[in-house]
Amino acid sequence: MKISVKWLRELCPVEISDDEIARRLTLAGLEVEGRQTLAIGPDVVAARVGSKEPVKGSDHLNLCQVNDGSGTHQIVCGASNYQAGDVVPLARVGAHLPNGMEIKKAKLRGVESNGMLCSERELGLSEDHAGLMILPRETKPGTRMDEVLGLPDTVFELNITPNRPDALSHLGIARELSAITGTPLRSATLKAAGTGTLPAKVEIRDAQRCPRYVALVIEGVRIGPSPLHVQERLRACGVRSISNVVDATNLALLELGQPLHAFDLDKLDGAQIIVRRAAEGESMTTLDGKERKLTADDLVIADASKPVALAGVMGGATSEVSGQTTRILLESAMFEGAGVRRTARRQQLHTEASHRFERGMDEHSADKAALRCAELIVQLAGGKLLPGSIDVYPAPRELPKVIVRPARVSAVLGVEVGEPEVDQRLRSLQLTPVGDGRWSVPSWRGDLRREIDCIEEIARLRGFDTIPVQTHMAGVGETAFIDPKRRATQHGRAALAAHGLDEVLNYSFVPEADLKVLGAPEPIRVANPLTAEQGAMRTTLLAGLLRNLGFNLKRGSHDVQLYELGRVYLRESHPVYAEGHLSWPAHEPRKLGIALVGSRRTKSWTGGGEPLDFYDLKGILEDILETLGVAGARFVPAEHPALHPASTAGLTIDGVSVGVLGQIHPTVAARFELPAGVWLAELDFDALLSHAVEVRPLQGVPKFPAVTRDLAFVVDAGVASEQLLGEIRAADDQKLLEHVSLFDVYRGAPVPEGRKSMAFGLSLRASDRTLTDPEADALCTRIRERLKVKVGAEIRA
Amino acid sequence: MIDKIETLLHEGRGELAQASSEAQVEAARVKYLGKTGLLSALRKSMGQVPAEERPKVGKLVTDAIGAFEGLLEETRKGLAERELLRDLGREKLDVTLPGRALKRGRRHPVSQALDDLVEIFARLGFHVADGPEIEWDLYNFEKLGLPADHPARDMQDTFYLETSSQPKPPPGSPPTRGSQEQLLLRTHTSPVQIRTMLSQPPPVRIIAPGKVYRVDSDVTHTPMFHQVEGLHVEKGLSMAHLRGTLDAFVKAFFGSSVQTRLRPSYFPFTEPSAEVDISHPACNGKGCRLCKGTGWLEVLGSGMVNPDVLSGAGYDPEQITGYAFGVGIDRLAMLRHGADDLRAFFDNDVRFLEQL
Repeated sequence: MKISVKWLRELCPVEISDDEIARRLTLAGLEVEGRQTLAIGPDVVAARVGSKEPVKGSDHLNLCQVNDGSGTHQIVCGASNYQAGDVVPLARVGAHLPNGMEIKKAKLRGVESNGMLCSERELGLSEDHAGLMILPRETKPGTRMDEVLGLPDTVFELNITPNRPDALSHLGIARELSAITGTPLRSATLKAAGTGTLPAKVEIRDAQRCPRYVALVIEGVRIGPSPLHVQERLRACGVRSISNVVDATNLALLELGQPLHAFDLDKLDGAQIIVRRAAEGESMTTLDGKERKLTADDLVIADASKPVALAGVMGGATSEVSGQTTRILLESAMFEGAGVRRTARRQQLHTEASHRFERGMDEHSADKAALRCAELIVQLAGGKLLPGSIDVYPAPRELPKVIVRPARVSAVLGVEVGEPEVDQRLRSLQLTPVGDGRWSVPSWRGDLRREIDCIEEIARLRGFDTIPVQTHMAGVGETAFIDPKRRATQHGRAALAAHGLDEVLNYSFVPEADLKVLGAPEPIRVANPLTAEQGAMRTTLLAGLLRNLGFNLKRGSHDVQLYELGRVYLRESHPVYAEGHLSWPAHEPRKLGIALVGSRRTKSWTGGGEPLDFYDLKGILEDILETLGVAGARFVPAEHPALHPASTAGLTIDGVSVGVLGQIHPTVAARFELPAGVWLAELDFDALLSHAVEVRPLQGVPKFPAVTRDLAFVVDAGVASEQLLGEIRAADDQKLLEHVSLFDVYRGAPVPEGRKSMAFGLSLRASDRTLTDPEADALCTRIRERLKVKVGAEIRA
Repeated sequence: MIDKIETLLHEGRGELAQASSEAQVEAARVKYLGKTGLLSALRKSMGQVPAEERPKVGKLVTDAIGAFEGLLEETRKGLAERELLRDLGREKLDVTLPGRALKRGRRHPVSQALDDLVEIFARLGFHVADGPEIEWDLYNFEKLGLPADHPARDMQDTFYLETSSQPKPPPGSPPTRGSQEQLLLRTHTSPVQIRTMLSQPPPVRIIAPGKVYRVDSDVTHTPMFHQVEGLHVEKGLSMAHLRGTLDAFVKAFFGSSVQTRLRPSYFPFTEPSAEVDISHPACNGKGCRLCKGTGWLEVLGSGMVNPDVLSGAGYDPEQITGYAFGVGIDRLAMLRHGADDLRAFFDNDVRFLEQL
């Protein structure tokens, strides 16, 4: 909200600087977010055009003699919308205009020009550049434009929180300033409307949505423009000047906060106001010229035959004040916030009025606002306020009473606040004591309903910096424990980083088409996504990771190795919190996604540049499993719609699937414009953590030496290494095998076609004695025998 | 005999002096001291020496052998020294060649900051609590003092979720106009406050880090971002404890010279509510372009837990009080690294990430 500081000082005449006002308002919770100084400067003055002659040889330039009170100046001017006798703004030589232009002596077509006559745009007043700004004829030449416009002024941009509708006006801010500084408000007395019968009728048919409706009638107004200083004041507050009557309603709004509306009484059918719900499908045209289709939930102001305003939001076109209007029916009403909010949202129509009603207006002051506005209308547009007022107020609301206990204030704020201070602060906000520690709250402070609301008021007025800094140690048994899962996660991340994987964070929403291509589960959809690309909650991390690879490859990176640790969102009930108070609406398991492309090591003078393959990916996963201490994990052949059928594995723990890994499927690669050499994995991270070892036991190192043996076998090419390893271990009936490593796999001559050679290094050790060579040889023989029988292995010479 | 001893010793000394390699030294050793070596042979020929001279000659032979062994040792040492000198003088490595490349992966700046926050708050006694990102209206808004049609809902533009085959909302959920607005992406981590209080009696001292979502996108806003919620509810807590906790956290994260300032604000679920500014670490609070010349930067929202929220969760607000806060982690990460475009955090360009 924009606040004119000049206006503010008129209502609360503080003697502190603009800076200090801004600082103190901000520290009291009325944040001054921005500020702007409005001034045109001393060298732009009103001047009367004495004569206007065309410049020879030009089709549009005129030579003018203008009088600025101190003398006559010769000015060459290109505009044409004025004549001799008009008063216009003159920027004298040496003036600096708000747009940065400096006025100098100039020669146009050989004719000397000593200054410039200005348009509104040149003075920074509006975008109007059609011609010169024409000032009222009675303006005295030599008067500074700042004086004509009521400048200089400072405009504050305030951020008013939704709980403070009372602060959405100059009076509201003035009340705050008064409470903060102790400077009393400048009070003005309003003349009552008197008694009489008005030539209009008002009926409220929905008192819940419209608790109060006040109407006044002003006759004999002459519609025209407002004086320049009024226009300028409105402009400073971000409101466009329309006509004197409409400007008067806006001035009253900006001053008091109460939205007001002026109807052309002669255009109201039956001179009647009916506040009612719209009929379903009924329509009306609002002041912005838009046809609005209404629902039965919309409240309208209607005359005898049709809606004439969208209650609390915007007036209608049919009853708009026009140049011919002479009789005004002035509305000052209270509409229920939630209803106004629904209508405004449905119609996508956010107005000064709806903004205020949504937050709650002060129904008690509606009559005073009407009187003040009528006063302004008569001031600006002439006419006379008819005696009498219509005030439909079926159930006047009582002012709430709140108990405030000084001890409680001190307890909540953590600092001793005595009773005298509580008393003084509440009074400064115009609360009045009604006995027994109870306080009556002023009508405009609908947000003060409970003790805590008043405690907050006391705190912000005394300043949050008066609250001390204190710490509260956690008690024995309450200190946060070292969460083993958190620690395991950190170790896992460290391992991923050690293998060169960068961590990414992707949006949780992805294009649904991506999920389809990846064969991922059907997603939960976003009803109002920012873009269609963000329409579906991800059901796999691969969607984001594949896009990350494409993004990076397109930008010239070659070796891109990424992981993401985050949730996916499944249309399934949560395994633990499926229903009841703590239920989760969806299942959100945490996954670990990995995507690799490029080479194992970046090419350099020491080598590198070898393309990544399946076993790089598997090696990373094996190390993660090792890091977490997961036992019982197996890699098994598997299929997955996103992965190449020939190079896909599943990861199982104790026989339960916990993820997949493999090469990108060629059609997926084509879809994401990626090369074939992309390696992907997605694991259920929660499952990995549940199998992670919390604490590893430590044992002493072996006391007796090991014996090593190398064995090579030739088997059918289709035999899995895991099978050979299993048989080797099965042959070890005395548990002497400490470690087996596969150190060579070979196909080709002299190994026969369709066969392969596999070489194992064995480390044998007995825990209670030094193992002898004959014992070791005996075990090797048993292994050879067993492999020969079980998998048809031959010993390679 | 005595002459022969001296002659042999002389010749041997001469040969060793000529030796330029270990092999030549060894050859000399074999020649003189080997089984059939020239000096060794002298011992065997002692029989030919007259008996009365034997002790004298024998001693001479033994001395000669000893002397030759000494010479051998000396020569070997000399050779090794020369060898070492030669090696030290060989061609130097190009030490400016880069070392064998190792690639280290990087943490995402936001996830790093998030971890740091968890760590800092653990020191202050805060446990980590968790909640869903797909949340009920009931917990994201209603129970936090934001009923339907409340204007404060404008402060948080919400993503709603399409709800065919919608799960059953928890008891106490408000009836909504159409099922449209029942399920949403949480707009803040504050629903975890409610879930935690519903699941345990006080005292409660938790933080809840996680993703949150708002319909917003510009240089400093992304539709998804990260928050850490904090909640401490216990007998005897006051706003002074809120200040103490926030001050401790800010100093732990940004450094002990950074100041905090509380400014009154409004959140429906806290009262009194405060925005928390920190003195801008980059300009030491002196004021610069980034902090619009004020020297202060807004980094989090906080306040005393609204009594209605406490009673809504089944706690007695006359008996216990509490404070709560919500920190934007992405903003902290931006401040820490001096980044000015939040969107770059989610582009995941490795050229961006690998600067860390």
